[in-house]
Amino acid sequence: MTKLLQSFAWLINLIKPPRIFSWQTVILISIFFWVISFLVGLGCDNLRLQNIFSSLGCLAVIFGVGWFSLENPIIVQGFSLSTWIWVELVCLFVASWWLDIAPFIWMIWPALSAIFAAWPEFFAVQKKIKNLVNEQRFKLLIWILSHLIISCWIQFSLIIQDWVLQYPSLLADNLSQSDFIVKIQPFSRPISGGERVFNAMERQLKIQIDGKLWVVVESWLKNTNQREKLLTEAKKEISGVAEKHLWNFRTEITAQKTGYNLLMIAEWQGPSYNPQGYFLKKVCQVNAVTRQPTPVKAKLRRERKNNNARVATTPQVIITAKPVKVAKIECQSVTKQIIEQNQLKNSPKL
Amino acid sequence: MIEDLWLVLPLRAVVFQSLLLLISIAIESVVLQRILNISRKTATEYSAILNLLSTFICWLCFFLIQSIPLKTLQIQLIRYVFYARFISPNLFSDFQNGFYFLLARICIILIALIIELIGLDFLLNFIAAQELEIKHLISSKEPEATENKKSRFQKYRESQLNKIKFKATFWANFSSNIFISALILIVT
Repeated sequence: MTKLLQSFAWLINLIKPPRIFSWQTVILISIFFWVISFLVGLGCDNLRLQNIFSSLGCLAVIFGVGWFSLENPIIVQGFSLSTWIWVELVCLFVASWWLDIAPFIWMIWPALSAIFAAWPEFFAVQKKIKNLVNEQRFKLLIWILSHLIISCWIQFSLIIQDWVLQYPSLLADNLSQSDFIVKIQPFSRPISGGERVFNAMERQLKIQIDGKLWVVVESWLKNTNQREKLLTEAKKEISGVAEKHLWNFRTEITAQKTGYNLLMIAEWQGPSYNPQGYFLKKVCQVNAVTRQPTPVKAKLRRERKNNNARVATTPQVIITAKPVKVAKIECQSVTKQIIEQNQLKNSPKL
Repeated sequence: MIEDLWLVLPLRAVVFQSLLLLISIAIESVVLQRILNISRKTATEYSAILNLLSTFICWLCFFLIQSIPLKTLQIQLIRYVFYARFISPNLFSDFQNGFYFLLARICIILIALIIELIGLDFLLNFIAAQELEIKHLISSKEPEATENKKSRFQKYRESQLNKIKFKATFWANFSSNIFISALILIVT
């Protein structure tokens, strides 16, 4: 046992705080809190308790780092690096708690960090900016201005996030031409607003006409009002974003040999990679298929069981068991078509 | 949840701006050193401060323009930021794009020039007043004019120091902007 302890002595020495009352103790306490919150997460699904413990751990880390930076600030070129990190930690913590003002905190943390990091060397020692030597003043100005520019970059990226939230179709486009931004989306293919509406329409169509009687479906398809209703219902999918005015939807019906083709077209009128813009197309084939009416059959069997003796029902059975024409719907995936230079924008050739 | 993760970061803007800032600081420091007759270190510090300041003010102008609640303007900005184009295409779109790009560039250059002029004035008068190196500039200030009738603008125009300041800022800006514009043209 003692051997085991001795072999781990270096580790114990490494993590053992020199005094009880020091910043190392606080960091250890924070690790303890995090372990507890991890165990709580494993043991039971009490998210609130877990959050409380993990934020206690965060608070302890902030306290510990603050203590550390007070005791021995790491000064690089006159700026306290540890204070810089401490202010960033505080900002992260505040931003994670107050989600409403999180963007604002994100924006101002570089400036705040810059001022606090410059504090011990420039403000606290010399008491007044007036007393600073020229060289120090220049240094201070360059330091603060460069952090202000970092603040501007953060604000710019927040603005871009806001734009993408308002116009999600931008994400589905090719962004390689831009001089400003890089898109990172590793796990999924982005879906544009038009595609979203199409998918909603497909779902609705399947509910409404798939497997219904062909006569009913035929009259449904020929009714333009019904299609309009379907479209407005599906448009609710993108009603929350600003780009809904930039999509132009329409549907067309063409008669085929075995049925009808329902063509859905969505024109994008906003900015896009292709200079003339593009439109999305989705074709759903509604075909008539003959099918044995299964529910009727079951009913018949039940009837037959109930009254075996009656043979008079047979001709009736033959009539009802006749195969019925029902609609079968098959949708292809969405295709994107780029509008060529010499084509008129309002009438894309299909 | 992780499938919905997306990020659009202005990394290219950050890289380009850092590079352009470094280039223009280097060029302007040489010009300032020649014209103001100061040491290389001071000149570099001056040009760093002036360039950072003008970049910051340009960003503020962008944020101001962006905050105007006008749908078409917003879409135009999006088109520029996401696809490096100003207008929806038509027959003359190449010319128009070039024209708008030039206009924006000239606006930025003018704003930078004004900011740097004010900034240099501020630097020389308030921050670097005790410095020995530029004493010759400060002392070359004419004795206070007895006639107060002259307007401020006239006084400004006649002052020798201001002439030097203007010359320095103008040539510094001019050379760095010419270089950067050429660089952009070559790259694109």
